[in-house]
Amino acid sequence: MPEISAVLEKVIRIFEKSGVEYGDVRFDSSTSTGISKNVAEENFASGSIQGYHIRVLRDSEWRAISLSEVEERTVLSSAKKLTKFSPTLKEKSSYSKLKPWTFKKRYKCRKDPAGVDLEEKIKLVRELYERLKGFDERIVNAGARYADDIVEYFMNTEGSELHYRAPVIRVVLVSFAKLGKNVQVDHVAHGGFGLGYEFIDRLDTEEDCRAASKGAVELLNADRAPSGKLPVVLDAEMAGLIAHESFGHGLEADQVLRNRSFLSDMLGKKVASNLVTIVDNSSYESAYGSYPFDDEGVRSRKNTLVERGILKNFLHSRETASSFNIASTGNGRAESFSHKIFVRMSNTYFEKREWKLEEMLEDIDYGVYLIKGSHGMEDPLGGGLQISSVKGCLIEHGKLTKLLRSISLSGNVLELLRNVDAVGGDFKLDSGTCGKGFEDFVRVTSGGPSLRVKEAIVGGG
Amino acid sequence: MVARLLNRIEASLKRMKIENYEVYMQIPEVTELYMRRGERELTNEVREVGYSVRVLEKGLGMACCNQTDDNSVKRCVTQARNMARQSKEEKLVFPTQKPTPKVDIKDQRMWNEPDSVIDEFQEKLVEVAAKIGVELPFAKIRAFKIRSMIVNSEGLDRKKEETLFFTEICYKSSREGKLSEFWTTRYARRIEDVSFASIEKWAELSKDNLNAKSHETERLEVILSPQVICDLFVPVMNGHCTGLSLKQAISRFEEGETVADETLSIIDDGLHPFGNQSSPFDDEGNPQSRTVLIDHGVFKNRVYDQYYGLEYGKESTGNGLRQGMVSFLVDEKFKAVPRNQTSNLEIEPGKKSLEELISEVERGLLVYKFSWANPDEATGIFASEMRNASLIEKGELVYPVKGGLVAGDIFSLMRNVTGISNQPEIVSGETAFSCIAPWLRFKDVQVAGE
Repeated sequence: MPEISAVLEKVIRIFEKSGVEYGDVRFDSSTSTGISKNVAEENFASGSIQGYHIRVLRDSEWRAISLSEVEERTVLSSAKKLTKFSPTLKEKSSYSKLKPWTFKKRYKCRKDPAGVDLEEKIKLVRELYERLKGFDERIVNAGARYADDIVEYFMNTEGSELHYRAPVIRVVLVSFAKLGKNVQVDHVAHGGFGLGYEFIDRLDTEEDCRAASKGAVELLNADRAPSGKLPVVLDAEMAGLIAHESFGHGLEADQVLRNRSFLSDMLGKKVASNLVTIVDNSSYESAYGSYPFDDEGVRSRKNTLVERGILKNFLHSRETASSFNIASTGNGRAESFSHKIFVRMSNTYFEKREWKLEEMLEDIDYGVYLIKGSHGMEDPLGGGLQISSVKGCLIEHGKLTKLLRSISLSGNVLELLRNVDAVGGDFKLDSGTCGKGFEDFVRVTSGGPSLRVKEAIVGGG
Repeated sequence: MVARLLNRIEASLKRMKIENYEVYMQIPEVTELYMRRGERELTNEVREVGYSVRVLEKGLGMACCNQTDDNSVKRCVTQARNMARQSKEEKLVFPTQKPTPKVDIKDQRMWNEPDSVIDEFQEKLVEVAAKIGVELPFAKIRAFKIRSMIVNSEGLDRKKEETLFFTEICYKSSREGKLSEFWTTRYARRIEDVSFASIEKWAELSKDNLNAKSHETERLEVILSPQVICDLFVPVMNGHCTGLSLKQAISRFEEGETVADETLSIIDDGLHPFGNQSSPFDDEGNPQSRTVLIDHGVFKNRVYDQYYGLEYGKESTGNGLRQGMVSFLVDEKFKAVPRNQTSNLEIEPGKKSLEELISEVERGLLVYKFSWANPDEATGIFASEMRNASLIEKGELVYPVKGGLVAGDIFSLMRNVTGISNQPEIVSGETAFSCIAPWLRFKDVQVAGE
C-alpha cells in the first residue's frame, strides 16, 4: 500500500512545519477470519478493520486522534488540528530521539492464510470439534476455534519508515465434561506470529484434542485442593503466569513513573533466588507475542529482566525511557489504532536449567503441583500474587497422588521468587492476550520451565 | 452520511440478491483523558464508523468492517455471504419490528458536553486526593457517545443514542515506607452514578492497607461488596441461565429447582433505568425485558435471544447481545457476533443496612475488592486474592486485611446466603459489565492464608 506511506509522510511534514516537539503516525490494518464450532452453534465471521493513530507531544502532554476514516484529506486535517492544541502543563518534555531506520518485510510463509480456502479452515474446525466431542460420552460440549489475522503495520517517526505484513494464527480447543451436576473444563491453545497455515500442519491436533477432553473427564473425579501454606511445584504455564502477571507488570516503567511499582527501588538488587533468570523477548522466532518493531518504531529485542536473581532492567517505551535517560527496550505497544500506547510485555519467561520433574518432587513430603495456567492478575504496587491453575496434583512422599481441581496461589511474589529452589530443564511458552489492568489487550506469551518453591499460600475452589 | 452508508450496504445486499440479512451499525464518538500522578498525560479522540453484516442463506455468516468506501462495503457483504453459504443450516428468522419499551440510557449533559464532563471529573479526582491526603498515580476517564442502528430484511428498523462513562482510578497512600492503594474501574450510563461519596470512599480505602494484616486459613462468614458480587455472579448466571447454556448441556439449573437460599432473588433486568446493559432493544433489534431468573431461591426462567427463542419455542427476551465477558465491548460491538447473554443482573435487596449485617457477625471478613474474582463460568469455581478487606469481630470492623484467598464455588455461595443489604448499587465489575447489587453475606466460606 504505497499510498499509506505517502499519507504518513505528509503527516510528518505537517508536524515538522508546525514546530511541535514530537509527532508520529501509525496505520494498522487487520483482516481476520474466525471460525468456531460447539455443540450448539457454528460461528463464521470475518473482519476488516483499519485506521490511523496520530499523536503529538507538547510540554509533556500528549494529544492524539484515532481515525477509522482513511481518506487523505481527513487524516491531514486531523494532523493539523493536533498541532494547534495548547497543553495545560508548561513543563518541557524530554523525549529521546530514535536513529532513523527502515524496515520493510512481508513475512514469508508456505501457505498464506489469506490464500487458504475458507472451506479448508471450516473442515479443520469441524474435525477438531468431532475429535473433542467424540472422546467420551461425558463430553457434553466442546469448542474448537480457529482464527487468523493478517496484520499490516505502517509507522513513520522522525524519518524512520517501517512496514510489515504478518499472519497471526491461533487455535483454541475446549472440552466440557459433565457428570450429574458436576461440570469440568479443560483446554489446549496454540498461537504463532509470522507463520502461515503450515502452523496448523505442524500441530499434533489429534493429541491436543485427546488432551483437552481427557483432561476435562479426569477432572470430574478430582478433589478440591488443600488450603494453606505448602511446598509447590509449578509447571511451565504456571511459571509463565508468575513471570508475566505477578512479576513482569511491576517492571513496566510507566508503573515506576506513576510511583506504583513494588520494584521501583530494586534495580541491581537481589529479587529472586540465584536460580532465577527472567527475560522478555519480543524478537522470539514465531512466538505469539513477537513483533519486528513496537508501536513507537523501536526494533524488537531480547531484554534480560532478572539475571541469576538480580534485577537488571525495567521494560520501557520511548517515553518512559526518556525519563530514565536510557534507550527504549521496544515495549511500547497499543491494542490497535484506536488505543493508547503503554509499556507492555511480549514473550516473558524464565530461562531453563537442569532439574527433572521427578527430582523436584522427591523432596516434598506433602505439597501440590499446579498444572496449566488459567488466569492471573497483577499487583504492580504491592507485589501480591493471584494466579490460578486449571488443575493440579497432590504431592505425597515425593509422588503425585491425587488429581486436584483448580488451585490458586496467593502471597508475595518476591517471597515466592526467593523461595525458588529448583528450576527445570523443560520449556514451554503459552499464548494468550494480556490487558493493562482490564483493557488494552495485546498478544503475549509467557512460560519457561517447571519451578519448585519451598512454600506458598494455596487455595482450591 | 450514516443513512447513506446504510442505504449503500442494503443496496449492495440487494444487488447480490441476498434475501435474508441484518446490518448493525455503530457510530461512536469517544473522548478520553489519561492522567499520571494527578496531571493530564494524554487526551485522545476516537472517531470510527463500524458495521457488521449478517447473511442468512443456507447457514449464517457475519463480516464486519470500519471502512465506508464502496469496495469495502462490497467486500464485507461478499464475505458474509461466503461464510453463510458454508455454515451449517440454520432455522433462524431475523426479528420483525415490534413495539419497544422506553428506557433511559442517555445522559444529556455527557452527550452535549463530553469534554466538560471529563474535565470536571478530573478536577473531582484531584480534589478528593487532596482532601483525603492520598496520591493519584493514574486515572482514565472516558465518555462514550454512541449512535447505533439495526436494519434487517424483515423490515426491522431500529435507532438509538446512548452514553456511557468509564473510569479507572488508582488512589495510593504511603507511610514510613509502606505503600497501599485502591484500584478500581467503573462503567455508568450517567456521570452522577459515580458519586463523589463513592470516590471519597475509594480514596479512604487506599489508606487502609497501610495497616493491613494477612489472614489465617479458616472457614468463616464473609460479606462481599456489590462490585465483588457483580464479578462473581454475572459470569456464572450467564453461563447457566440462558437458552445457549441449555443447548450446550452445561446449565446446572432446571426450572422449578431450588438452587439458592430462599432470601435470594435474581432478575435479568434489561430495562433498569440507566443500567449499563439497558436498552429498548437488544443487539438483534428485539425488545429487551425484565425476566425473573431466581425467585426466592427457586430457578424460574431462562433468557433467550432470537436464535434460542426459536429453538425452544419461546419469545426472545431481548438477550441477544454483542458483549464480551472479559473484554467489554462498548464502541466496538459491531465486531462481535450477537450471543445469548444476560443483560443487567439485578439482585433483590434485603431489609437490613450494611451496618446491621456487620453487627450480626461474630467473626468474619468484609471484602471490598478482590484482585480479580474471575470465577469459571461453567464450574462456578473461584479462588480470589483479597486486595481490600476488613476483619469483623463481635460485630465490629477490627483491622484491614490484604492477601489470602477466598475460595469456593458460586453455587455453594448461593445456598449459604445469610444476609442481603437494603442499598443496591448500579455497578460494573472487572469480569462483568453490569449488575444492580446490594452487599451480600455468606456463611462457612473457605479462606486460605498463612
